[in-house]
Amino acid sequence: MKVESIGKTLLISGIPELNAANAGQFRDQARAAILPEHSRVDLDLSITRFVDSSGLGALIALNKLMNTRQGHVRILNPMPAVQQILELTRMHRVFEIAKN
Amino acid sequence: MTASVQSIPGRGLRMEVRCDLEAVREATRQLRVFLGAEGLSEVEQSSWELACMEAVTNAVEHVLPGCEGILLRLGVLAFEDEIEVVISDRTAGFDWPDAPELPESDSESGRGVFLITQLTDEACYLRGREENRLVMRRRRDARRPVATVESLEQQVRDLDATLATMTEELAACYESLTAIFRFTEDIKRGQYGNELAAKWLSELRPVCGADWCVLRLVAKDQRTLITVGSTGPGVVLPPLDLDSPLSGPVATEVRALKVGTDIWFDEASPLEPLDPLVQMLNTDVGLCHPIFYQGQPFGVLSAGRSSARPGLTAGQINVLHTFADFLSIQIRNLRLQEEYVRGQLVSRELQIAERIQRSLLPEALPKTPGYGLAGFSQNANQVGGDFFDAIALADGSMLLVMADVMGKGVPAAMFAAILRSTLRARPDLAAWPQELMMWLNQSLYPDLDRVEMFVTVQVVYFDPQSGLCRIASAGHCPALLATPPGNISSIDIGGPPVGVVPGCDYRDEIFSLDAGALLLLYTDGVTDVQSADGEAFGEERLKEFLRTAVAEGRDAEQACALLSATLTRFRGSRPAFDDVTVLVLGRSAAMAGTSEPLGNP
Repeated sequence: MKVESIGKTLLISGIPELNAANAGQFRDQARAAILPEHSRVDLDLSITRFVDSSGLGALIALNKLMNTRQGHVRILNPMPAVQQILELTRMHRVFEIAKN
Repeated sequence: MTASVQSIPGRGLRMEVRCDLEAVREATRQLRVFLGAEGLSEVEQSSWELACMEAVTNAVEHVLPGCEGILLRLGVLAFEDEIEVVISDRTAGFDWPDAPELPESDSESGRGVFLITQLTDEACYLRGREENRLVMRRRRDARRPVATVESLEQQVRDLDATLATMTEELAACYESLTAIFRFTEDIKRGQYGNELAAKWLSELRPVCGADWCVLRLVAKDQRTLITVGSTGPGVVLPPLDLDSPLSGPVATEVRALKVGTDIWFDEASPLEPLDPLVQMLNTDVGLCHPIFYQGQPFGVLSAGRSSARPGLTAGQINVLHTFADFLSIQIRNLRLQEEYVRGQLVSRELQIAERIQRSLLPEALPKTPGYGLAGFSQNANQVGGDFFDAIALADGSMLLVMADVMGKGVPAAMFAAILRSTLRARPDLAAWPQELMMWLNQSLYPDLDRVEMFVTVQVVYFDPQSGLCRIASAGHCPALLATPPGNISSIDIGGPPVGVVPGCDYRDEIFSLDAGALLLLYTDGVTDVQSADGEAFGEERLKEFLRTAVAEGRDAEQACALLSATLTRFRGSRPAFDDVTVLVLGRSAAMAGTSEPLGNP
């Protein structure tokens, strides 16, 4: 997992999977990297080929944390399988999903 | 990681898996490889991988104490037209819901069973004494043998379908971009208003795949949400009160603005029957998206559609959000532009009014031997309707005028100009203030009445030969006469302001301006001047000022300058809020009058 701070944005990338086995660790590492000056977390999921409901739970936890700071989490370039779970669980209504 | 795998190509797969999360994840990866070899599509493989991961994770996380060492069993059977997966676990088991629902959107867990039912055609949970079994089945997509010409052709068709979807998405982006360019052009042409907002919404509606769109903005009073555009023909959406508490029944649009996040409505959480949006066509599913500008509530963009069509995609929601952001910036810019233009017009209007008012005041006051005449008019921050004049008549006499037009700006300045020319048009009536005032009222009443304005006027005819004055007043504050050594009389003649009572009568009064006396005509701005503590200067202070001035033998010019300085000192740092206008007529102490009766000048 790669973490970069770009101004007010924290960019997290390089996550191969977000599943029940690694979601807790991911959530804790991401939380630790979020600084008070960050108003947005950009999660680059372009190489993430698998996300399950536990992984989704970690994303929701991060979004809740950012919401308490008037910020939010943005999901970048999800692969089709990840897009599918976001839409099935209606999380595409909660997260801003950006593609480029 | 997996304890044992037994694969029968083209038939089935059986795995025994250690009860830990890493091991079960590895097992679901192998399941995917098996299904890939069986010719299932990427979508089918992903669906089974996710459904099985949800099931085995549940089995690991809820394993009964003491059973951690027992292996989980995962079996896959690939039939001609269907895939069946059976997972056995050693948990206490749970009641499989008839219709699994999603938890609240901020819940971090509780989506596993919902996902399994969405990803499979059939899921059956059998609870037993020793173990529980979850049986999942899903029909196979059109069956494709591996690595045959047909399967390759199918892959090409799949790729074509993906390409078509991407093209469609690209077209939607293109449509959005084109729409945004069109909106920008509309703005450049200076078109703006509710019609334009409705036009933009009608462009947005197909781009974001909605059946209808409604845009509301926060009104300038910040207390209501008003409709600026709607694609629903004939639908009238009443303004919404933003002050209503969230605890009571609140329109979804107001709620979205108050909580600051999108609020969705669908079959599970439909719009309330009294919600104004129920008037729109097809409200099966949709959302209210709040718009903020620099952190301040700005408006709400809502869209909805029938559930007969697929739900809004992430791409369509993105278009809606982008459009809302774009719109808020554009509308804000337009509002600022309008305010700027309006500000320019107002300041131009004030410039004109100031110019008119300056041109009305006499450039130089007439001079009469043995008498002095001085005056000033100070404007408050806005142009007002104060006005004074001193008209020298052919026989050496003089007409003094003091007036205050109700109101400010161009209308007040215009009426002051009309008053000035009306008075100057009848020098024959100058010696008869009563008749002059009646004629003035008769001439100006229709115009003043039409615009609901009035003017207080005071006219003084003054004959320097006799030192006698004849005064008439139309609702103006009393003139003050100061005679040595320090007597003050207030000359208060009743009479309604000009423009209030049609054809009304006025009366006049004669008095003598004795040697050393001062006559002060003023507007109520003088007595209304306020100190820093908010105390008014008042008539008593004005009388006291005059008493001192006359006792000290001040002439008109000195008295005028001293009064100006006194008022400035009294006001201190407090800004003036009304015009201050003063006219002083003084008779030198050395000159004695003949005191012949007035009336036959």
